[in-house]
Formats: sequence, C-alpha cells, structure tokens
Amino acid sequence: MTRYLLKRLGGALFVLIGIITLVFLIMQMLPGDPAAIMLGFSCTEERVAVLRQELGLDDPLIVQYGRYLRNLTRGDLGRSMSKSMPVSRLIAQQMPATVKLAFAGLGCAIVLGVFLGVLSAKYHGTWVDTGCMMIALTGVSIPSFWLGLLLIFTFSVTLNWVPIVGTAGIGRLILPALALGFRSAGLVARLVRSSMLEVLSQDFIQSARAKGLRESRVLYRHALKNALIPVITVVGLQFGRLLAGSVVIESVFGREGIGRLLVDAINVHDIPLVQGVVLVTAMSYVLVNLIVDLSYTLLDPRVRYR
Amino acid sequence: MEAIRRREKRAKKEGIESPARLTLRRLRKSPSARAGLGILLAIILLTLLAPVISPYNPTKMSPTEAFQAPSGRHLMGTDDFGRDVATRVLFGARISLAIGLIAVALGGTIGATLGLIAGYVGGKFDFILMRIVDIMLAVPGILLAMVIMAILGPSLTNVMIAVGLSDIPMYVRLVRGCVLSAKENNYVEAARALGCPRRKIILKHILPNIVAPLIVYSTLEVANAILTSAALSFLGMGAQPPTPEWGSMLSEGRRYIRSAWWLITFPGLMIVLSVLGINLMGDGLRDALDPKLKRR
Repeated sequence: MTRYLLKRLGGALFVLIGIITLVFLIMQMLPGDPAAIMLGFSCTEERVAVLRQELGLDDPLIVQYGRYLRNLTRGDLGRSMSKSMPVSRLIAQQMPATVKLAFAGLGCAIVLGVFLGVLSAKYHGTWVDTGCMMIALTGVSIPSFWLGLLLIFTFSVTLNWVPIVGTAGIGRLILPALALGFRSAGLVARLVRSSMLEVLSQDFIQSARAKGLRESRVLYRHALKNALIPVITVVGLQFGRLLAGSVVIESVFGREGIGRLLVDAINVHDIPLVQGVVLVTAMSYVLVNLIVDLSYTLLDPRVRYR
Repeated sequence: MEAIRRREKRAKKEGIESPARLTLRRLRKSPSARAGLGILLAIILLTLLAPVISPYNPTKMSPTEAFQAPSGRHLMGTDDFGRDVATRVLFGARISLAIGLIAVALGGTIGATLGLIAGYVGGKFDFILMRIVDIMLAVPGILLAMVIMAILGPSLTNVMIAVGLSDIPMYVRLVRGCVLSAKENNYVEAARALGCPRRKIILKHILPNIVAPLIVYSTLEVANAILTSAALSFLGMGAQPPTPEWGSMLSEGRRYIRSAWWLITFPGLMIVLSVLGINLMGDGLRDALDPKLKRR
C-alpha cells in the first residue's frame, strides 16, 4: 500500500512540475510585450525598456524560469496587469465561487446520472430504458452554454422564477449547476446502466433474490453499491472537467469565478493572470485525480495489489 | 491474386464474412447507427443545397427586416441586422462540420503518427513522449484550447488548430496502447523475422489492425470538436462576426434573449442535432467493430 501511495504521489508531483513548466513556456509564446501591455498604448520605448529590466524580462529564459519557480514556492503568482492586484489574491477571491459551482454541478450529475442509470438498468430492454438512454445521449450532445441559455430563457425570462445573472443565493446556483452538470449526468447514466447490468447478472444478486429480499433492496443495497465502484473514478474525473467547464457557464450566467477571470484575462492579454488561472485549474485537476485514485484503493482493495 | 479470389469464393460458399463486410452488416442492423447516419446525411444534404434552398445571403444585412419572428418568409426569423437565421444556420453547418473534421484530422494525424512511433519504437522516445502526454492530459481540453487561442489570436483557422492540437495527447495515448498490443502478434513478428523494414511494418501490418478503435474515437471526437469550437466562438475567441458560425450566432443572440427567442434556439438546436447524429453513429460503429460482440 505504501509503495502504491508513493508511486502515485511521485507521479502526481512529476505532472505538477511538468504543468508548471508547460504553462511557463506557453506564456513565453504569447504575442505582445508584457511591459508594453502594462504601460498602455501611450508609453515610450524607454519606459518599456526600463520596465522590462525591472520585471527581469530581458534575463535568459532559464533565469526567468528559476525566478518563477522560486516565487511559486512562496505562493507568488505575479501581479495582474489589468487589475493591478496580486494574481494569487484574485484567484483566492474567485476560486470559492467556481468550486461551489463545480460541486453543485457534480451533485446534479450524480443525482440525475445515477437515477437515470438505475432506472434504465431496472427496466432493461423496455421503452423506459430507451427513453432514459436518449436523455443521457442528449445530455452528452448538448452544449452546456446552450442549455444555460435555454434555462435562463425558461426560468428567468418566461417564468421569472430566478434572476438572470448573479452569484448570491441558492436559487442562482441551481440553473448554472444544472447546465454544467447535465453533460456529466449523461456520461454517469450510461456508465451506471452498463455497470448495473453487469452486477445484476452476478450470482450474489440471484441469491439475494432467492432469499426473498425486496427488489428495491436488491437493487439499491446490493447491486448499486457494487456498481458504483467503477463510476467513482469517472465522477472524480468529471469534477476536473466541471472545474474547467465553469469557464463557459460563468460567462453565460454572469457569475463570478475563475472561469470568467480567465476569459477576461485572455481578452486583455493579462499574461500573469492567464498563467495563474491555468496553473491553479490544472493543479486542482491533478489533485482531484490523485484523491480519486487514492480513494479508489479504499473502496476496492484489489487495486492495491495490482 | 488467384489464390485470394479462390479463398474469397470459398469463404462466401461457407458463409464466412470478411471483417469489413461483417462490420457493414452490423452497421446496417444497428438502429443507433442508422438514426445517426440519417441525421448526418440530412444535415449534409441541407448544407450542400443551402444556396439553392435559401433565397437569402447569410451575411447581407437588411436593417428594415430586423428581429422578425419565424414565419413563412423567414422560417427561423431574422437577427438584429435583418439577416435570415435559417440561411445562416445552414451555412453555419458547413463551417462547424468543417471545423470538426479538420480539427480531428489534424489532431488525429499528428497524434496517431506519434503514438504509432512511440508504441513501436519504445525506449527513451516513448518514455519522454508519454510523460509530455501525461502533462498535457492534466490540462483540461477546453483550457488547453483557450490557451492556444490566446497565443494564436481569434480566427476560424486558429480554432481548428487549437482544437486539433488539444486532441493530440488522447490520440497518442490511444494509438500507443493499440500498437503495444498489436506488435505482439505473430504476423508482426513474422514480418520482422523476414527483414521487413520498420516503416513498412508500422504502416502495412500494424496500422490496418488498429484502425477500428481509431475510427470510432475519431467519429466521437468530431462531435467533441464541434462542441469545443462552438464554445470558443461563443466566448468570442473563435469565428468572428459576420461569419455564420453556430457558437458565435448564439453569442450574438444571447443579447436579445428577452425579445428574440429564435436567435438562441435554432443555432443551438443544430449543434445538438449534429452532435447527436455523430454520437449515435459513433456508438453504432463501436458496437459494429467490437470484436467481443458475437456474430449476429
């Protein structure tokens, strides 16, 4: 177990360092002089040159990379050019809203996905099965931003149940969470269905039925519990996707969050901010995957011995 | 040649089908593949006939006809510049399908080539490439595409490049895995023993045997590419107005969500239909090409 843990931790650390390097290199390729962008259009060449020297942009790449790593270890992600604030503070301010949205989206995905998957497996081969799988397939095919627009049109414009934009309140979280989680719900539903069908054909289910257990108990206590093990990995991976997917949803619903921060940063060429957001999102993605992997070993002991 | 013909004749007589024929038969029987193909063919046909069907120009503005609701004259209404939405949706299909296909072709060609070499050659090249792939896979696709767009700047061509490049890591991983398994087969060993050059082994013996999963993945990836490119255009990083691209049409239409529902309805519906068609087709293909399925 310790060996497995060390191996996974080592792998995650390598990927994290790789991401830091990749993000640093990509940002070097961005068009435009960061110093000129910081000073604005009316700056003189001399002032740009002075600022370049102050920021260390004239140093060799390896020196800049070393400085970047050193700053990172202190939690310093640089200073936003457009908002004149430390990037780490901006991300810390916006991250909770994005994490909240991603968790809410994941909740929607799990509830809807498991419900559709179990229903589909229970009524395998009937019109209920076909209907549930059509909903799941539509979920996989529907762009989250379009679903978001439809939800706004239906519940905010037509029915006037929830305000169109904003972050505060649970009411304002439901629609973006549904728009964000619907695609993942489709994936989870398909996976739960196939996993349930496999488990339902096993001997222990037959013996549970033979013992005279109620069908709902067989389904939820015996089958679903076992069928959910492979689903957990996918759900974990989905959390990372939802974090990234919030980029679009936050723009649709006018919500605060790091997704919107990233879109704004790209539009105004705020390189340190783009760098910081991409780095933090990718790191969260890696950490979530690591946690999922490790929790998997607790749920399925066979994994530790592979 | 004569021997092959004789073998085919005997196989036909004994009721043995070639893999290609078997796949086609399964595809014909698959309801999902049939439905997917039907939707796709309908969209492609409408797209090709767009200039004939529609009397309007997709980019020509006529302000006097702005914001007209769907009617017999304008089936999907008109937008803020008086352009016919139905015409723009049909012309948009050309752009979106082209983005999907070109992006996948780009990502697939580069990714599959790297995966083929890494899987067959192995060693340091494989080790380094796979570590790079691990790192790239840790950055979610849409984020990677956005960063690439930030470097390249907003344009339709750049969307194709960004989406294609962000597809490469998955292709490398998929193809490498398939090659690792395929290269252990006896026919590859036999070719190697006969002194067949490495390039010929990869292209003539391994590639044809890993084509099935590659086709299935590519089909499903076209759908993903359409969704990602529409999302990029929606965020203002892809196609720029007045190009009739579905994502940018939705982005323009959302401003009038209170007064002109048709502007957000029809372009989105077309995205769903085309992605649904491709997904159904991909599902059908996967079932038809799955060797684990018994002969029906």
